[in-house]
Amino acid sequence: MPVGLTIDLRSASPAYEQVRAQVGGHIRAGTLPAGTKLPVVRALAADLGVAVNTVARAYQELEREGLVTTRRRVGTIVCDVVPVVSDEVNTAVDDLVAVTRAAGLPLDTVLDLVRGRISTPR
Amino acid sequence: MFGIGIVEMGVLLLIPFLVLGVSAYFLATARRAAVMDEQLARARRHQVGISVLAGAAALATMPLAAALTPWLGQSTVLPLLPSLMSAAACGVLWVGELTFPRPTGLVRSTVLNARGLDSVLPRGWVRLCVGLAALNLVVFAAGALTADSGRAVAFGTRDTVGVASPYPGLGYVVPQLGALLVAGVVAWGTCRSATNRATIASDLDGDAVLRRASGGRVLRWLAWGLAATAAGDLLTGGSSWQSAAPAGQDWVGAAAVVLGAVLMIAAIALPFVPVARLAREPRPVTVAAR
Repeated sequence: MPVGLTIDLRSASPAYEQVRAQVGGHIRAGTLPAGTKLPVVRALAADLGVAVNTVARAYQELEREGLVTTRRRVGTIVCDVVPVVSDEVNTAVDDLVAVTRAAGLPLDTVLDLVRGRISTPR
Repeated sequence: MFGIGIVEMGVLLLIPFLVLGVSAYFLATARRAAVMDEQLARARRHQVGISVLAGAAALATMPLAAALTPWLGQSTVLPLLPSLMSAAACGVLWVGELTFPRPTGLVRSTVLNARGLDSVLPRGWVRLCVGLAALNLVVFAAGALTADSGRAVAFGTRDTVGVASPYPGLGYVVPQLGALLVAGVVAWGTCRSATNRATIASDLDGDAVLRRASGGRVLRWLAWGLAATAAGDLLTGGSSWQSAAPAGQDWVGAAAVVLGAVLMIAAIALPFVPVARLAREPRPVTVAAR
């Protein structure tokens, strides 16, 4: 199943950070398993209509975090990372995405809601 | 004579081609645009338009090359014409890939798909190009080894000496090889650009078809250049061989002429061979286009 990626240019978060966060999230959630080859920088930049440097910086950050490794002639590969997100959480996130998408909520609003809930003491 | 003839031929072919090409462009893009995803329809319109321009560029190369004959000579320009036409068409296709519609809007979605050249290159066209390239190398090697001088073939018997030209010796083969390499490099660059161009995330199957169609168009023009170059060499070289060779050896020339004629017919038919096409039915949306 293809893994999606969406950037919102209205967001306060810069585009490279959005790419880094989403790809990193997919790797940590296990939806991008170890050994998966990521698209080359130029191709992903074209796909998102952003500058090559934007994607290159996101990949550099991911490499610094130890989530991916870049090898010459091979490309950028996902490292062996133990998923920190269980299937139960993944399902809950999928449900949340489906509901908020149906409601037409922008990404920032959804993130604000999640941040608000998480920061609320139990 | 050659200069005037090739200019007339180029213009004669170019005008009806442009009329037919522009008509086909509007017919093909208008008919399906209504049932097709908007992003896919835009990409397809771009590809069809660039394909028409590539054909026009190839035909426009004929009068442009003819204009070089006073400086380079007819015997230098004519053998290079197929590969120059091929390189011109591939060059236009390359520009088309570089100007492929990019995502616009404030929210942009895509899928993470690592794609390589194999996603662009149709295997059948690759095999055809490799086969034709090998044939060209064999023809070049045979011509260079059997030519008496750079551009003629000679047979000496006890009583007579037969000499005939033009013959694809080193004088023809080296520039042809260079021009074919240029066409090959341009084709390779175009395929690389097609690999890295923007994905149509709203219809991944349609995107795969359009990407393969891009590769098919490039390799079709490359195959055309290879086939027409080999056909020209075999036809001229075979005729010269037949004229110069003593009885008993002239069958080699006749065989080359027959093979050259078959290749020339194949080269004329090649531009009409279809590349990958989109399905008639609209495809389901795979990623929400926001």
